[in-house]
Amino acid sequence: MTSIYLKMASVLVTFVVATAVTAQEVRVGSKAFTESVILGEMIAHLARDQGVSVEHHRQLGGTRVLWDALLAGEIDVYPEYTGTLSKEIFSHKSLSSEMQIREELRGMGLEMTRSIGFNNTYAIGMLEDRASSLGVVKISDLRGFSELSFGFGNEFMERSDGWPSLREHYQLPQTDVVGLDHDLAYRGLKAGDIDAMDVYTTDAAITFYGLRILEDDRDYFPVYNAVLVYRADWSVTAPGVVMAIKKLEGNIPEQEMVRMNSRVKLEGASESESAAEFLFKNFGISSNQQQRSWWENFFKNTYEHLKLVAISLSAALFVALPLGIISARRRNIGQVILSVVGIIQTIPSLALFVFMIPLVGIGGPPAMLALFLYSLLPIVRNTHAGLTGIPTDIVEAGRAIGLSSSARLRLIEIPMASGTILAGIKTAAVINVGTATLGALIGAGGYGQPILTGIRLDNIGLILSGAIPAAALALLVQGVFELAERFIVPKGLRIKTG
Amino acid sequence: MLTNMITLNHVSKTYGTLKALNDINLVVSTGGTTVFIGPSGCGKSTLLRVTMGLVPPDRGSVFYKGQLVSKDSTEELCRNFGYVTQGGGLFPHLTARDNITLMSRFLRRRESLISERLEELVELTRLPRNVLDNYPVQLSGGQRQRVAIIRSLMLDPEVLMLDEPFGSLDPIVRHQLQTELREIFRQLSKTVLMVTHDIGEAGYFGDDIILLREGSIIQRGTIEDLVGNPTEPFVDKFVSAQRTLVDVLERKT
Repeated sequence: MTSIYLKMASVLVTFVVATAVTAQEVRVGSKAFTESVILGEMIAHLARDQGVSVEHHRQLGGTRVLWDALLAGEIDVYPEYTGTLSKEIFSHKSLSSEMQIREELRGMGLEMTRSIGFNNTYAIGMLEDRASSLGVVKISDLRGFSELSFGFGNEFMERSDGWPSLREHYQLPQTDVVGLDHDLAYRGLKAGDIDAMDVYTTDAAITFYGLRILEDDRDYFPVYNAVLVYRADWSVTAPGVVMAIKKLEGNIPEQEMVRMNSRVKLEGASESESAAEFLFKNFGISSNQQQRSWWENFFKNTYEHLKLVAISLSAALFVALPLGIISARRRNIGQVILSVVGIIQTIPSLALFVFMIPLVGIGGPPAMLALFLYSLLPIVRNTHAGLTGIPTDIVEAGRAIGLSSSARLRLIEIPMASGTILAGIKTAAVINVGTATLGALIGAGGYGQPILTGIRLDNIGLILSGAIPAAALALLVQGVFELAERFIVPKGLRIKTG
Repeated sequence: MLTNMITLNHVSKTYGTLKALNDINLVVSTGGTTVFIGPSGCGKSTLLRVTMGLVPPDRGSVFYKGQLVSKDSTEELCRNFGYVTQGGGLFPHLTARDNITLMSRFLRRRESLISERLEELVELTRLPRNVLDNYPVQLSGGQRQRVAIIRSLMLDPEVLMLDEPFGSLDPIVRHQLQTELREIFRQLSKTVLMVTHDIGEAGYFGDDIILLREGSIIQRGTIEDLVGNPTEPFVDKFVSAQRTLVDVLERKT
């Protein structure tokens, strides 16, 4: 009897799993640089070729974001480099071979492909003219020029195989070293603000800017073979897709990758086109190009941005107003509440965004949660200030005429504090509109998306197409709240006499 | 009729190091006007606010008609008191009319009764009818006090509590309002507790005057008692600190 039920149950489970598999969608992630986005697009094309629907979370902000998202099952696959896995993700384990890395990944329910063919390691680059005038050819030559200034990508500044140990390895004397966005570093180099920077060896910009790659004469930089890291359960749920992406193993030589990067960065092709061209040429796979027009992108970004702001702000209202009221009425609890929301405000926004990933994944929800938290302080603080700022004789008059505590709040205190409270909400909304642009770093979309892509591709127009609407939206929000004041703040408080 | 309207037993209240009330024992009977007088900081306002339950005493207890006045009882109890402060204590976001009718509407009194009562009190206090829809900032000082008085009388409370109600008015308006208000009190025959620092005002209104200093009652009696029969030099000093017009003219000539 029992066994029959068990069999039925297992059939049911198999059925459910099978249904889930056919309905499944592949979620691809990529890092915030062109090569990663191209590889992400390539995975997406290959999966679509298998008849699977694909969602590509493009240019997420940093290795940590992708790694956390992969572990949390928010994405299924993303392009990575062996050096990053051994030196950054497993930095505490000192893994030396790809086999050891693969072992380590398996322990966490993850798999990786063999190298897809190229080694994109770090290198130090200088403008050709500058390097030849100083006579710098090798990294060790830098030791003679302590006055040179370096600009390194933020990741390179922090990584265990980055600047700190490079300096030690080569005994470099330079002290003028700044951390900055990788793509901005190229511009700094061109403008002469910095003399040397970290580059990726497959970077299209190396030829574009005419960079000299300094010889790693003391074998410092590790190998950064490109691989695809994916969830192990994928072999069961989407075996076709795994087979498809494994086609890439060993098939993208360095020159091909540089070319694909150049197509995007120098020739203005989209990452999707660049990846599709490669797939067609080498595997005869043709991919559907679904290019969105400028307006479609604009409306999509606007919709995403408004959604981030509207949801996070309204949630903040529901929480912050009661918190503000409680903190005004109970001094002790109030101090605690104000301190806590104050501390939240001091957490750097990218850090807060990343903290949210293990809790709610990537995309809109973590960004909304972070924006929600940031919106609390201005509203709580202003509600508190507005309520505690009501003159004592007015508060007492309310009690003296015999109004209940809740009636006083509703009929007297809130209306009297409404101007201050509204100002707090306005501040929160304006900050929110600006901060929401960072949501793009964790895949939330919005106006941050074109800004991020624009920085990556060194395309001012693209940056402005995100920055200008964001600024306009902030002004609009401000205007709307100023208009709302006329309807919400009671007339008796707005009349100026004398 | 109960004769003991308000009773204070050993009431003390300290603000920081300032002893606002120091072991006050007091019985106020029904009807008539009781005036609390004394120099600034003597505790007279605190006494009024403790009596209404707006401020909890540190020690001692307050009874209104035998009921304990405490933090929990004040809502219902407060409706027995009409309260007018120096600036009127009007809600700035409401018109004069809304200030006056706020509480009656909150208690869902019949609209017709509310407007009837309003009419009656506007008549009584001689508030110009056209200012009813003005906001407090648009009213003159005298109008503001009249509105505050109407508001305090709307629910027909048994006791009126007035804390320096003429304090911020110019002399002519003050004089006029004092005259009218005394007439009103007489007509309504309510129990009135009034705080002032002006001995002339105290004598004009008060059947019963209580002189306070540093939180303690120094002397209680009629104005005649205080002037003619001071219990200690401070009383004489306080009473004669008032400069009358006659004094001033005599000294000039």
